Parts: sequence; structure tokens; C-alpha cells
Amino acid sequence: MKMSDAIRGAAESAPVEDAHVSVSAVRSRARRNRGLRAGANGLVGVGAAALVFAGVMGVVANQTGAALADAPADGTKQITDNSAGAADIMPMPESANACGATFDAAAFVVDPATATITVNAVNDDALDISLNTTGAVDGEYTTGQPAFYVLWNGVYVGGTNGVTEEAWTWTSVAGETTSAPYTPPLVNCWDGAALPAGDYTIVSAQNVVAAAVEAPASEEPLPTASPAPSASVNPDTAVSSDAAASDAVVSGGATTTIVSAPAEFTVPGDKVDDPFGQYLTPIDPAPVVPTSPGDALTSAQARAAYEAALTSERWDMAKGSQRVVMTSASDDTQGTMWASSYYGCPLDGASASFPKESAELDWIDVSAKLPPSIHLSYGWIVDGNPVVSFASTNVTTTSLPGFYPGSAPRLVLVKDGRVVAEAYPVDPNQNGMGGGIAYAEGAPATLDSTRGGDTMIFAPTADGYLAPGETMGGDYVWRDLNGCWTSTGQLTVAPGTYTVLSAQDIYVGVQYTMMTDAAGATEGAVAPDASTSTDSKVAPAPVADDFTSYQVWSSLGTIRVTN
Amino acid sequence: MTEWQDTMEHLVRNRERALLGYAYLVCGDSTRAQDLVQEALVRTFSRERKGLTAVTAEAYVRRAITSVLIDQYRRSQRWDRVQHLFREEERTRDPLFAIEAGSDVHAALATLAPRERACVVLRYFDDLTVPQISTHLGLAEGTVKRYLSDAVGRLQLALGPLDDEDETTSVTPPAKGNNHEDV
Repeated sequence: MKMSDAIRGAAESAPVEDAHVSVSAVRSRARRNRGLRAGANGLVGVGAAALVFAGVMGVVANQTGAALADAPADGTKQITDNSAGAADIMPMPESANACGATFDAAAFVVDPATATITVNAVNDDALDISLNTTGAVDGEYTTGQPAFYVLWNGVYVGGTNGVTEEAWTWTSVAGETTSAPYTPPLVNCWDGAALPAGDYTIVSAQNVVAAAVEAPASEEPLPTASPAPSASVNPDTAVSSDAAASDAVVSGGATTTIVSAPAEFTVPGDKVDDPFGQYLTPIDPAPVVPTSPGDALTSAQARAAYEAALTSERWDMAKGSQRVVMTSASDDTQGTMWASSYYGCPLDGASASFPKESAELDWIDVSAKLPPSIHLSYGWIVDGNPVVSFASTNVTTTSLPGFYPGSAPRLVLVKDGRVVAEAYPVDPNQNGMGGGIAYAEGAPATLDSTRGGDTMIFAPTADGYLAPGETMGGDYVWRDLNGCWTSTGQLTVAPGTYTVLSAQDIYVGVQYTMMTDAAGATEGAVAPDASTSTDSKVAPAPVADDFTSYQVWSSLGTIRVTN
Repeated sequence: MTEWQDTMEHLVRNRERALLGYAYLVCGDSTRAQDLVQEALVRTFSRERKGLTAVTAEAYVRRAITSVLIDQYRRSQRWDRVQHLFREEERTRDPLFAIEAGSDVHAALATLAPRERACVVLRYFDDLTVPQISTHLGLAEGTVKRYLSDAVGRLQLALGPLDDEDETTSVTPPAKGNNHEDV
């Protein structure tokens, strides 16, 4: 079987019958994003203000999350020229993140114009409104579509965004009022359902950027960006800094958002209690607490032991000897440790000798019974599927992580200090227990293949901790031997005598608890031995994100390969 | 309706199942596959691409699917803080449950860590080379080769020998000890 055929076949048979793509949602979000880009492009030359404008528009878009269509390209005079844009107003069910936020109109600057909304009619599916904008000063501004926020008790529950695919110029005349009709839909912003009967408020917000003009000589206050308010609707990125605003005035223009006075309207019908309760009621996440034992090895303990036992002495890989290599650590910020500590099939076809530094630590006692020789044919062992008896005993006084039911030994064959092949003996009993069977303390030191389940006292816990004195092991069938891949292809394991090593991974550090709720799962770190421990007195709580991982390499002796 | 919207709708209408299947390969979960495709479509069509057709768009979307997957990991947690989670998966997977040749490929893929899955799909579904995968996922070539090597070994353990000619070793990765990038 070819890997590519298998993979492509798997794609064909993937169980995705119930999964579907929402074209409307994709279209809406893509249009919004395109609108942001186009808006920014349309303002090229305005200088820093262009970015500010896009940023403000982006925030408005994020707050509302919908897309609007074309704005008038020649709107050089009045915003009223833009009434056609309302036809493309769309709900934004995908923007549920902003839904439920408290709207704080004070977050936005209201100069240079004042705006009001006249509710002409409340239709079944949309409002019929007029947005009345009155210029406060004379000037030219670049602007786009207004956003509309439908509020229920001050909470954002629906509306439309203010993204436009093309900005246009608006000439503000002090004291002159212009009106434009809009028809924002009466649907909620969570799932697009119709707004239930009740009393609502609608507010508009429209961004304008002062055009690139000379600084006015008059005493009229210049439009300035507002300071970052503490609004629940995150306006942090909606406003420029003071410095940016100042620059904008000189080089291009400042960004301002014209926020209308709120207008009230009522959706007719029988009012219901708590109409948005199903969306607004938070669901307390239920933590799934990890079950690390109180005596679990901590990262601090492991580090200390490792550093104390660190040696640069070359490992001779004599049978029964062992070395521990630290393979990652939380303070390895560059992520280079894995490479310097790597041992296994060579990644680059050349350098793959055992790490120069390793530790002589008595963490686990590994015993194994290997066949004296194996006969290979095309990588398969053809002389009767030899049995490998393998067991690991925790010889520390702390519980060691990394020992899971069902795990099997990982073996490598070494020649002249370099790994040439890998092997994964397998459990012959596919009964769900796997090959990892924990034996009681004091199990016979010499393993044999007849022991089986009769002496099985318990299985290691699912969280993978091996208690002090416990042994995990089993009998495994050795079926094949995989020559390492190199730059010239896969190595053929030549006849000869090889050293056999086993590798055991041990990760020590933060346990992650899953916080689940209706919307999915999020993760959070929980320090072991602290609140989750059954006995927090055993060890002090470590630094919350301190972790280290190790590989324990054990020499199991030699084996003769024939073919 | 604009041209890009026509293209997008045409693509979804005709290739939705294929894209979802591809995403499922990458992530192993149908719900997540749906989200991946959705996000990938948004990424693909959020910018103007001259001459984009449904066929070329599909290639964009497939690339975006793996990018989204990797980006999600990058965004959700700093890799330094979560790498042990992936190692945990590698340790907790049971390499024995599907040792019979011909076992279900999905089950075999489920034994792989997310990055390994992404590398395998890009290598064997999309026929990308190691350097291409490296570039696409923002990983060092040596890292990609390692993932592929580990993943193929594990898949072969579950599925039996797989006889694709492996190109994963055709490029010399950075020398041992060099920095590598992680997800």
C-alpha cells in the first residue's frame, strides 16, 4: 500500500457528512476583511490617519462583525448620497464575541457633527430609520458606512457593521443637517434569530477622517481622538494615541467617530422575560482536575537531581548502564535543547552520537530479556516472532510520570555509538489493556514470558504515574526492525552485533486541566502538588510554568542480527 | 455578485466534501474540520487574487487549512508552554491498537501529534517537499523531517509497510544543535 494512496483514501472516507460550510458566513467575513483592506487603500496618501481610520473601522467591524457593500464612489458632498449601501446590510451571526458587550457611547468622539436617528417604522425584519447628521464645523472628511448598534438594556444584541469597501469624501458644513435612510435588520448578533418583542435602543457610529488640509487658523477645536476608555466594547485599538492624533492633524487628519444620540424603538409582540438569557447567561466551566499524586516528581526536584548527576563522561553503553538526558525545559526559550539532546535515528544523515552531557540517575530500573539473535528479511523478523520481556521499576521515592497503560518499549539498535535502527515490539494481546502491565513491588527481577497476567496486581493509572517501587512491564512480540532513514534512503541493517538501548520519556511539570463549557474547551495550567495534590505537603508548589522533560536511555545488552 | 463570491460559492458547492475531508485528515475531528475549512475560505477570499478560479482557489484553501491549524496552536498558547501536551499525546497514544496491516488509516492518523499530522498530509496528500512543508508551516526542515520520520514509522506500525518513495531525507536539515522552530 502506498502512503499517499492511503492518505488520499482516508480523505475520501472522512466522516464529515454532518459538517458543512456556511457560504454566507464566509462571504460576510471575507467582505468585511476586504472592506478593511479597501478602506485602507482608499486612504493612501492621507498618511498615518489612514491606518488609524482602518483601525477604527476594524474595531467597529469587530464589534459588529458584518459586512457592508459598496459605498458611493463619488460621494463628494453628503453622506445622504450613500443610501444605496443600506441594501447590503447583513446580520453577523459569526461575530458572537462582541454580542452581549455593554455599549459605551462615551468611548467615541462626537465631533465634528452631531447625529440623531429617526425611527420611521419597525417592520417585521428591519428597522426603517433615518440617520440625521449635522455638521459642527466646515471641512472635508473621508468616511465610510455607519455602524448601527441595537442595544437591549445597554447591551449590544444586534446591528450592522461600519465597514465599507470604498471610502468617500464628505464635506461637512457647520449647522447643515443631512439625512440618509437605512434599514438595519432586526436580528440578534449571536445566531441571526429575529429580535424578540421588547424595547430597544439603536445608536449609530460613523468614522470620519479629516482630509489632508492645512491646520485651520480658526479657534475651532480640531477633531481629536479620544483616550482609550474603559468601555466594554473594546475601543482600545479604535483610537489613535495623542501623538498619532497630533501627527494626523498635520500630515493628514484625525480620526473621529460620530456617534448618534440613542433612539428608542419597540419590537411589537408579547414581551418575554429575559429575552437574551440563553445568550447572556454565563456557563460556569467545570474543571477537570488532573490527578497527579501528591508524591509526584516535580520539575524542580528533577532539575536538581539531573544537574547534580550531570556528567560529560562518554557513555560506554555497557549492559545495565543508564543515562538520562534532559530534552526540553521551560527556560529553553530558543527551543534548541531538543536538537542538542537528540539521540535516535540521525536527522541529517551524519551527526547522531549520544549527547555530550547526560546524567547518571537512578530513576528507573529497566530489565529486559531479549533474544540472543534475530533473523531479518526485508526488515521483518522471520525466525518466529521472538518475545521481548521488558519491565521498568520506579526506584525513586517519588511517583514518576510517563508510564501509561498500553505503552510499549521503544528500542534502538546502536553501532559505533550511532543509532542505525528502531524497533517497537508490540503487545500480542489486543484486549485493550495493551502491553503495559504493572507488577507488584518485589516482582521477580528476572522476567520470563510465562508470567503473564497471573502476577498482575494492578495496572498503572491512566494519568501515567508509576508509584515508588511499582513495576510496569510485559511481554511483547518483536516483529520488525526499521532501519533509519538517511539522505540516501533507508538503512539496511547489516548482519552483525548491535547494542540495544531502550528509551523512556519522562515529562515533569505543569499539569493542564481542561475547563469545559458549552462552547468548547479551554485549557489552563494547574501547578502540580498544589491545589490538585492529594498531599501538598510532600513538595512545595513549583513555579507555575516550570517544566522539564527527559529521556532515560538504558542499555539492554547486545543482539546479533543475521539475514 | 462579485467574481470572487462566485468563485467561492462554486468552490464550496462542488468541493465542500473534499475540503472537509482534507481538513479532517489534518485535524481528525469533523467539527473542527468544518471550522478549519470555514476559516481557510475566509483567509483565501479576504484579499484580491487576480485570476483566481475555483481550481486555484482550492489549492489556496488547502494550504490555508494547515496554516490555520498551526496558527491556532500558535495563538492559543505559547508553544513553550504547551509542547508537553503534544508530547503527552505521543506518549499516551497506544501504538498497539492498530497493528494489523490494513487497519483504518483514520485510526492510525489519530495516533499522530497535530504537527505530525499536518506534515504527513502535506507530504503525502499534497506531495509537498520537505522544504515546501518547512516554509509553509514555518518549521525548520530538520523538524519537519523528524515529524515525518516519526509519523511514518508510527503509521507503518499501524498500517503495515508503506511503499511510497520517501523524499523526506532528500534535503539536508540544519546541523544538529541549530535552532529549530516549533509550533
